[in-house]
Amino acid sequence: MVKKTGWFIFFVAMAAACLEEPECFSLNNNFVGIVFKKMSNNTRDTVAFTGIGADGTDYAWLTELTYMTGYDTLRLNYFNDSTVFHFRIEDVVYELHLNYTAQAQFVSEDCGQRYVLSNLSVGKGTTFDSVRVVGAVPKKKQSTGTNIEIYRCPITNVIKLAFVSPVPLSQITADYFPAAMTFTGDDQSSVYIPLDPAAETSTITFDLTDGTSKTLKLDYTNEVDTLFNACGPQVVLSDLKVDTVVTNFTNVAVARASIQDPPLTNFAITF
Amino acid sequence: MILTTAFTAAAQQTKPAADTVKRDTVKNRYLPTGIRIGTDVLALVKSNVQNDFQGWEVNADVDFYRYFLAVDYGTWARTYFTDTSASYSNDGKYWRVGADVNFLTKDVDRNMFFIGMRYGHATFSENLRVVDVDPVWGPALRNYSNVDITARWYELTTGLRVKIWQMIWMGYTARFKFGLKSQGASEMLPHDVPGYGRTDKESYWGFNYQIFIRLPFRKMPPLPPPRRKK
Repeated sequence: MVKKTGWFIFFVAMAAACLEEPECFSLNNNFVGIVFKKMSNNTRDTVAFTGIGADGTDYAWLTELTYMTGYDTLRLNYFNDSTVFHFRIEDVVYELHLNYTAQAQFVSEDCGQRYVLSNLSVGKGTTFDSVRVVGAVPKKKQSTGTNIEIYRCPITNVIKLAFVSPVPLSQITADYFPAAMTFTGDDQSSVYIPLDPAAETSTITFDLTDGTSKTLKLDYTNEVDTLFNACGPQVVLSDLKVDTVVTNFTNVAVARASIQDPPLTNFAITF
Repeated sequence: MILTTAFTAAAQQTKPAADTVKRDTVKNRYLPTGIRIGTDVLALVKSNVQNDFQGWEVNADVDFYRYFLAVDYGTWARTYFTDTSASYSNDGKYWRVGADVNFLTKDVDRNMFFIGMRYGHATFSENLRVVDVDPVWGPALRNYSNVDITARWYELTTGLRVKIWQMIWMGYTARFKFGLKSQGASEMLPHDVPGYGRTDKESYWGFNYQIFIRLPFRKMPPLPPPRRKK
């Protein structure tokens, strides 16, 4: 009885002692997913990038103009404890400094080693308006999930003009614009116009494809206010009014006298 | 006749009373009767057969009636090489302490089937040499190490101890190891803990095959008599 019991336990133990070898696929967790959001209403923000790169490598995650609300597969450098990413929007470069703990671990003779990353945090030198870590453990390749949320401060000087009938615009100009806003192709049913934050009035000229022009002059108040601590003091424009003396549209109806982010229709214009 | 009767009466009077005091057959039952010292044969075989393992283990237990205090001590070293010239090695010592309960209390040969528990502790160092090429970050040659880090775990044990001949005993011990926790690791996560095994599992099975010598230092108390069926 004792001998039989002994053999039984022996074979059970030997069977149970057999271990599965670990798989060698996707061992490192050095990927981060980022999303871009608007601070004003915590919704996704669509941003245009012309390039994404990082210090210490010539690899480029992006090389041409792309509109996106986030990026899912930024790769952290597991040979270091930090990675600096560069996000290029035309001539403006934003930096994202990420710090983390990177530890190596042997897996098996077949798989070699893996790198385990944890304690993700945002480092000094980051130039985005506001960055929040929502997942401190980076993810493995082809895994979904967000680790970093990048917020932009509200835009406080952009209005939306809706045209009652689509208009064949060629360009829109103002003396405070750095360059004219040009249009090609289809008629425009709405446009987004920045107002001059340094003044209390903006005069905007609309040039049509037939050579005619219309003028819109808006008066408003501008005050310095801290809408979000991360954004600091901002110039906030409000109380929008149409100067009917200079404005020569057939009709300009006021929909909203204050500026929203994202912009909602402020004026409905009949050419 | 009177004298005979008197003698008979006297004899009846001097007959000792029935023994009402329960004889203590288990006096000093819980005092140890001997120490059993052995070694894990599997560890010795693996050290000679496998290129990647070197180790030995000494086991000892002392009986307190059916309860045994068990202590293990061992050393353990592993070395691995990968196809990419990377290598891993560890080297350390470990000990376990715990208790077993014998469930063969009436075995004539004092063979033992036990269930027990252990607390395990290891102190070890390990080194990892990496030769790696990342498609984004390029090539890298790195050395990572942990020096004199510690780990602890718990075990549930079961097994047999069978008397083979006079003082020679043989036995098996199956171990269910769990609750591993390590301390002191920095740039490298532990891969293999001496006495425990790989760290990528939350629990781990282990098995020892042991040969013992039992050194008695007092006579074992007699086995309890079989219970009479009423």
